[in-house]
Amino acid sequence: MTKTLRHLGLLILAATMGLGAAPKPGTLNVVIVMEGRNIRLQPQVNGLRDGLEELKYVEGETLNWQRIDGETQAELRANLKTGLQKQRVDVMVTLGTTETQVAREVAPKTPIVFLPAADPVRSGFVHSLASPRTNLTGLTFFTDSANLGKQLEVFKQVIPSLDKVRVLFDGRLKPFSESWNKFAAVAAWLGIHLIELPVASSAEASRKIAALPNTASGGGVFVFCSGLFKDVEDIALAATKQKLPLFGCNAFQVAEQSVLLSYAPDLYSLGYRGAWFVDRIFKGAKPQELPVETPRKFELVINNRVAGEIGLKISAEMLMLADRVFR
Amino acid sequence: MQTTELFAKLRLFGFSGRRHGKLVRNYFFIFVALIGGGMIASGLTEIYFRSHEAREQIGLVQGEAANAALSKIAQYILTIEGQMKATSLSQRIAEGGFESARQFELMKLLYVAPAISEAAAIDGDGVPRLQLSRFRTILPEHATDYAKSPAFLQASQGATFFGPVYFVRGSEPYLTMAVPIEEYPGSVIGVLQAEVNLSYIWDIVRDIEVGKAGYAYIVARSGDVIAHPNISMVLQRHKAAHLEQVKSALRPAPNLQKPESIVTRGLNGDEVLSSYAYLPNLDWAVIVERPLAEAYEPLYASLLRTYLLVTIGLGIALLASVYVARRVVRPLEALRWGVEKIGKGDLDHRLEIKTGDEIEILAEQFNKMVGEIKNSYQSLEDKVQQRTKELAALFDVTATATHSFDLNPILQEVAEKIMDIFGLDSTRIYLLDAVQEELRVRAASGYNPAGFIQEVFALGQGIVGKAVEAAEPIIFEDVQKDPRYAELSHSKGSKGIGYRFFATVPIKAKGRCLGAIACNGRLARRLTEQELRLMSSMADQIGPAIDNINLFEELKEKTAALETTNHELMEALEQQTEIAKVLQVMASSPTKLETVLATIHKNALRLCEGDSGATFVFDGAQFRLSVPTDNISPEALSYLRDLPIRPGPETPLRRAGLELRTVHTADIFADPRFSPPEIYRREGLSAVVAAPMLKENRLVGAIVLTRREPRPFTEGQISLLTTFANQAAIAVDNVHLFQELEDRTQELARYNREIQLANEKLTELDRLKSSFVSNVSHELKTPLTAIESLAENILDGVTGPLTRKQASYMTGIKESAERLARLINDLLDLSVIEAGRTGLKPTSFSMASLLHEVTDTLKPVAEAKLIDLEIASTNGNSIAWADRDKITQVLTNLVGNAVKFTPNRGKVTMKVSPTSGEWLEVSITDTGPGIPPEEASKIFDEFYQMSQPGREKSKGVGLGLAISKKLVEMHGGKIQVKSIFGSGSSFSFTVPAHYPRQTSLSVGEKEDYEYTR
Repeated sequence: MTKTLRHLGLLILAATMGLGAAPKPGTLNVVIVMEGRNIRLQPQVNGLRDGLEELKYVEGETLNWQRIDGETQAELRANLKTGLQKQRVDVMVTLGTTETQVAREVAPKTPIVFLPAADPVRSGFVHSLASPRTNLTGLTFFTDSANLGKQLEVFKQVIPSLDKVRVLFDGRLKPFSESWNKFAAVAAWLGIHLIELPVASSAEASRKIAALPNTASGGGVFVFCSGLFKDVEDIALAATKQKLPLFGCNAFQVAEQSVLLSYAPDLYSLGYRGAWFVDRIFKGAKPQELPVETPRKFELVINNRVAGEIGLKISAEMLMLADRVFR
Repeated sequence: MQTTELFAKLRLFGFSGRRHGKLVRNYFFIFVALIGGGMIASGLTEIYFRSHEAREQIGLVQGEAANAALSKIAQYILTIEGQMKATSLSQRIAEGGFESARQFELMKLLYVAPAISEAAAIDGDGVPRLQLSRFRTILPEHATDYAKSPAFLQASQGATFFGPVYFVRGSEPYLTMAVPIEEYPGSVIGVLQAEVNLSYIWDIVRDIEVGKAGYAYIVARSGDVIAHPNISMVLQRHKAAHLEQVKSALRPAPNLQKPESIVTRGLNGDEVLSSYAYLPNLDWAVIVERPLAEAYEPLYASLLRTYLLVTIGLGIALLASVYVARRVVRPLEALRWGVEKIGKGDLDHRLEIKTGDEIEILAEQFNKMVGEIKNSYQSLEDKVQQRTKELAALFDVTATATHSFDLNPILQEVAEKIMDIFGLDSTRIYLLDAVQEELRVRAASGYNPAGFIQEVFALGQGIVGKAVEAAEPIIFEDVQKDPRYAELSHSKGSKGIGYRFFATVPIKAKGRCLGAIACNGRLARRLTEQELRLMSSMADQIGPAIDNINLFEELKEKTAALETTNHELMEALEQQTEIAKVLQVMASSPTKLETVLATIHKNALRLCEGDSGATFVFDGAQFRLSVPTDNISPEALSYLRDLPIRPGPETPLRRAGLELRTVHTADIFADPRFSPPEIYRREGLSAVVAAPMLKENRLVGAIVLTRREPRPFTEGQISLLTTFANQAAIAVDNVHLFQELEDRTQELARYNREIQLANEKLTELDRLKSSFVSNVSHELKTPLTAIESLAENILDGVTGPLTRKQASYMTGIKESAERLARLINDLLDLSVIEAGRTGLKPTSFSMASLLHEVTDTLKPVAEAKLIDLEIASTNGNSIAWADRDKITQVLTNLVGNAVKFTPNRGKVTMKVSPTSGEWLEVSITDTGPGIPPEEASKIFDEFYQMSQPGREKSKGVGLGLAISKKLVEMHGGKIQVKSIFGSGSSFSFTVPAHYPRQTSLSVGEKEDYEYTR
């Protein structure tokens, strides 16, 4: 935790000082593009920073950071346009699918490393994982469209009594039908009844969950991850209050925002690996030559404290098989 | 170091760059070659063997690295295999079989083995009983039948299965592994199969360190790179099957007991040292590579050290060689320096070398040699001095002999110089007179008292004569003692005067003896060989000089003769030039007689050097003054103009007119042939020459030149004046001819103008006649047509029946009218033709056919007279290119005439024949009375009719043949008649033949032809 805070502090300091500073020759200029303002919610940034440090980059000397963000896509787009005019950029690092889409529109010629993108091929970011053929590369969050079903399976393994799941998703986005179909098929096989819960904001999600009937057993909330659900603290609180087990997006949400569990790639590791992409591009490699990498491992992370709060007892076997358990 | 500095330093060590530094260089190079060569050879040998050993060693070390990598990878796979086996030995599976509730074991396997992404527990029938994936949910309907899969088949036999590498999502390498599930050893109840993500091997490969830039990678049997520190190489499916190291590692049955190393190209194309090992269970090649430069870095460092050592050794060898060379060369250098100094002329210099060795002995010997050279040099110098003196004397004499072409002063000077050079008391020079064959004294110097010198010697006379005759010197050292003197001498003069020495040397040139030098001395002396040679040389030098002077004199004479000739030639040339000028004037002004005669007179006066004169033209009776000279007095001029000068004997002019030849007198008043008038005397005339101008021996004028002094004109001048007179005669004649020609020309022009006027009048009259005939004919034709038709109506009974007499008269009227109409038609035709108003419309038609047509038309008339009309057979082409109507008219006229004039039972024959490629000739021959020759030429004239007795009077007006002639001529043809009076006539004419080109066109021409039509 201490290390993370130190990284965040340095990052913010660097981002503030880096504004308007003239780049030095041989200095790597990286722009972090993110939707929202709370960089603390983006563990991959820490991983990226550590990875670059491992690759001998020194902040302020051979490495310049700049963060360009926006609460909404429109704001992000405007800020990005303005911010990119002020300085030279070697690589843009985007922290999600939405950010990647905006960055590509604003600066189509600047190399982009997405950390991560949900499905870069379907989003049109790259031609294929092995051969991007575009100015974009990076790491995916999922390996394929079956990952959501696997997450639901893990949800069921942890809570065998689970039979009704409310699926929380950004109603403004249209989920990929293939993913949804596979997800629904797995739900059916597992005997889980799915209830769609589309929302337009995090607050709306919190309100809707708070309004749900208290179902001590058999019910759960599954978050279809997107940019809207980077900060789920209020949602988690509402779910806990309603004794609803909440399946989150990543380990950070389990560790820091009282989400019951998650089964996903480790964002820190993803960011750490992303440093290699940034380094290679800075040293002359073209993004189209760097294949997109998929996560090799999903982590099962459980917050046993939250389990206790909602009156859920997780089996010892599952706790034993979990990669991390918070108490 | 700059080149100049290098050379400067080399000079310090004896490398002067000059020839005498060669020994030092030789020493130096021999040292360097021996010591340096040895060192380089040993260094190279060392480098060669060390390089080989080092390469081998480096290869072995890197091979070990490959081996270590291989072990790590094998260990990793074995660990996964062990984890799978541990799972298969689970008590849960053994006890509970493959119930889904027991999937915990598989979950645990995925937990402990991150590389396994999926695992399946398969029962003995190949049916998957449990399946678990790290990333997806395997639904029952997606379960696979493993019964026939190689993995199941092999593992169910109790052996672990390692499948070939395959790729998920097109880029991530995976491997299928399967182990048997045994209830107890040997009792297989199922198979545990796992899909292993080989990306995890990347972690192992990445951690393998091979030097600084070395790396390891793995290549599957398919040639795919399945592990590489740069994961992109794997994800992008790079192929490595083409690399030599991969081929070697994956060659059939590699059975590599130990890794091998080769130098080849790596994945990036760079040169690398590549070591490889083979993993038999998985059929993979593990390659370890380092950039060649890095791999051989220690080797290169070692080679560099060896190189430095050899270089240092070479430097030491160089210094040593220079040191030794200098020790040896210094005395030699001193020796060289001394020799150089002596060589420059310092023969007093001596070498001071104290080395105590052979070089010192050499120096001493050299010093001795220099001493001897010095002595020899002194002797030689004396000889040269003497020789130089002789040569100077010889040169002196030679210079004297050649500096002038005046012989006597030269000989005198030479005589004095010889006396001076040889210290003699008397010298004489005799030259041979080739004509007289005697020797005459030409110069003498010294003491020669009267009577001593004999002026002339005959050849062979005395010592001088004998010396010249023999061409050999005769020398007496002392005439007093030498008995030969008394024997040879003629005068004994030398002995008599007291001279004792006497020498005679012949003077020669080109092998001939020209004379001799005789000299005496009061004292007896002996001439050395050099003195004798010198004296002979002097004599030899005088000889050519004398020869040259003789030649010069001869040349002078010849030059004078040439100059005379040249002067004469120039005079002749001048005369020719003046004559040419006169001719030019004559040619350019043929009618201007005064100009021509003035030019002739002026040139004659100048070239013949006359003082005055005049040119006259003879008018057949007397001379008329044409051109006088300017300096004639008015009185003389008046005399010449006004008084008649006729041919006669009184003056040269008159006599020339009389005798028709040039007359000359040097002094007219002294010459009895002449009795000149007083005006001659008043004018002061003396020499007079008069040349007549004769044209075909006819006198046309004369030229007279005079001089006031009694100096006769030369033959050349008289001849020249005659020439001028002849030219003047031609000019006078030309003028007459020109005048005659001009008169005739003017007369001809006047005649021409008259003829032209007459012709114009005739043409106008002809035009008026044609116009009149045309108009009148038209006017006549109209009423005639009315008469004709009215008469015909009356004969047809329109006005009622006619009596026989009326019918007879009306018939007469009608026939007369018809005849009159034909006549008028002929007149009209002729007038149209003559007025040029008719045109031709040529077509192509057969003349033979036309003859038949005409024959058919005239047949009734012929038959009435029992005349045989015949068309002779036609040979060849009879196609004509003419106006068919016009030719029909001609033929009708000619054939009609023939029928008309041929008596009964006669014969008319027609024939057409080609005369050439372009013309046809048509002839009509009859057996009529013929045409008299005097009329044959007139029958084609208009209105001409023959009127000889016996011939039927023509009913026409004499226009038929005239019209026919004009029509034929319009076609460009000719018409003619041949007749023998009393035996018939033959008329013939020509018409253009059909133009054959129009029937034999080529394709291209045909197109043009059609187009232009």
